[in-house]
Amino acid sequence: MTKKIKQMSIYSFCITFAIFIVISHFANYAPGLKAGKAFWDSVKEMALILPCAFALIALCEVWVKRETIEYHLGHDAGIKKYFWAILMGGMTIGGMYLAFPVAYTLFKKGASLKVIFSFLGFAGFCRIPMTIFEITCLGWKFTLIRIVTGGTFIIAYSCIMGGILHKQGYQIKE
Amino acid sequence: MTWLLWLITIIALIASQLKDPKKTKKILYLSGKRLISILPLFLFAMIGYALIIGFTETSTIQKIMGHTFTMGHTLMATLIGSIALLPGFIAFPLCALLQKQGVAYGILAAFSISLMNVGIATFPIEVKYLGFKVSLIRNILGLLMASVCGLIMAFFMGELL
Repeated sequence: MTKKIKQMSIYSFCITFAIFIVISHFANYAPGLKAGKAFWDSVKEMALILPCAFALIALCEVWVKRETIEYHLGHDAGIKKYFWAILMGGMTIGGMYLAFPVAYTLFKKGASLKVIFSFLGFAGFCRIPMTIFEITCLGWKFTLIRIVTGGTFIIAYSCIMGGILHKQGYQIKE
Repeated sequence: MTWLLWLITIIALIASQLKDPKKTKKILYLSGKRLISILPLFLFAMIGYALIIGFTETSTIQKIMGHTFTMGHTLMATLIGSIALLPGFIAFPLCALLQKQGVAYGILAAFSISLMNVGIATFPIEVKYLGFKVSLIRNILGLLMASVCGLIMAFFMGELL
């Protein structure tokens, strides 16, 4: 599928959705009203976060030296680099959409693929505000077990995937 | 909290502008370009999320996910989690509600893990950056992880029959 066709289909999907919401509004169709409100709330929230997030990512990309990243997160950085991966994953804001540009920046600056995959795994897994919320909702025992088991799994498969892909000369794209 | 984010961003940008205007111009250009390129995929994800919120009720989810812990229910929860598009702030109260209504912890673990890691909605963006093969593998591993962690959770919570 060419890029143009993909873009056209997504935009037509959006327009269809918009029409659906407008009609639901006038017809008082409950699911449509709920969907419209949910859409508006989430867009509002993300619209405030996205520009800042991209600006901060670009700032880091332009200002942080390659050597710094390579030293802390590169291939020879030692066990410590996984702690960085967990920390950065925990501090991800705004969802997985933002973790991927960060991953690309890390890759461009020389971080090891194992670290990048661990980071992506943790970004979906133990974001700090979410985790605090989880403890309040489901208890610290649940959260602890989830993080320990999931975390081990994430690091394990990231190491394997990172190692294999690195040998194949894999690149993260823009 | 978002005002703090804006404050940090603006201060950082001003500092960058003072130190090197050329670099700052590049920063603004890069972030603008990326914002625009991600916009369609992002809208797609938001719409999917809104539709799910609009068309599902808690009771439906609970009926599907079942009470006692079985592998079947876990797999079902994992699959639903991968399709569902809920931010954490909605997902966790939902899980708490389900738990009070008797859904096993193990099932909820599988559900929340696959919810946050695997996603039909995040897949297009993932493919854009990581390529199709890698994204597929990552997501399949995520499903596996969700099921296995569900199992382990159930074991530790004493739910394994």
